[in-house]
Amino acid sequence: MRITLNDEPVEADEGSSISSVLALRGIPLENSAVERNGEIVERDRLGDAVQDGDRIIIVRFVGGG
Amino acid sequence: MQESRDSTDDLVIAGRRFTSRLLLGTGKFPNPRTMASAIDASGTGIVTVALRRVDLDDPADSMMSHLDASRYLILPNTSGARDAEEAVRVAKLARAAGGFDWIKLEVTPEPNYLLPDPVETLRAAVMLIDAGFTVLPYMNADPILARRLEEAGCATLMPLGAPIGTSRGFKTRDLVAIIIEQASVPVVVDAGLGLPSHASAAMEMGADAVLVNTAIAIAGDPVAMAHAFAGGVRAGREAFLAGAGGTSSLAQASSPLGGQVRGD
Repeated sequence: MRITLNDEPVEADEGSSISSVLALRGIPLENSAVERNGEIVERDRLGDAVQDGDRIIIVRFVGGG
Repeated sequence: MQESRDSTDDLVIAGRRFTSRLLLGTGKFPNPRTMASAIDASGTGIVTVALRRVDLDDPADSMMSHLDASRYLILPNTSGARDAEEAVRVAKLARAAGGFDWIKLEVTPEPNYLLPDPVETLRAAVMLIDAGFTVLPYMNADPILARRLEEAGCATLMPLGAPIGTSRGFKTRDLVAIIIEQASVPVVVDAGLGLPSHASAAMEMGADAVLVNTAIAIAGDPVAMAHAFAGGVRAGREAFLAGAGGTSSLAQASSPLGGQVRGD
């Protein structure tokens, strides 16, 4: 199944959780936030399975004024 | 001047006390270590950060591991937002990412001067306050807008000194003076201050604080410049509290006029 991660197409196995998709890409979850199809995914829901076509956005803090 | 600090002159924002009146941005530093040292040298109690998409080719965190949230308040901004909805989205993501519920509201739809959109800023402020955020809005130096943002419940007013990152100095002083005169929340001059003397000028006039990023981050020695800005802010504040004696167009002798040596 195909999802997008920060607009990049990513193949994910059936039943993969959001956190496992992120872990596969080496993305640490600390100080980050995840959106799925425009909705914020609370930390305790990161184990939910991704669905075909999901648009996942992950953000974190950078330097800024 | 005594070395001991007078805690009655703390900066108080939304009930929280800060010993420093210098807020520091964390963008554009040559490396995180220099940024951390500059934060220390500035003595700041509030540092701003931005929120961006994780770079999938370089996913490691290079920012928060260098900040010590026990020593200063971390204030995410909504930079990049072009309207109120985008600003609210960024603020909610920042809260989800770090648990931060103070937000520096920036809505800058226009890329050349990054001037804040007053209508969208006010709209976003209302939405964010409704969602439980403590809102510190970057704004035009517009006294009427300042009043509207304060009425909406903003915790500070943050008028620009000059466009972001320009280091052109305190170009908005006459309008900021009106904002200071009217405001009952702290006024923080944000953006465009390029030198400690610019920060001093704002503080001498009665600004409650200043926010500086670029001028420190891109200085030849950012740590030394952070220290210099801290001094400028402190000098300006002390001068404001001391009360300036006013100006005169004609010379006013500071030495006695009678009893001249020449005898006439």
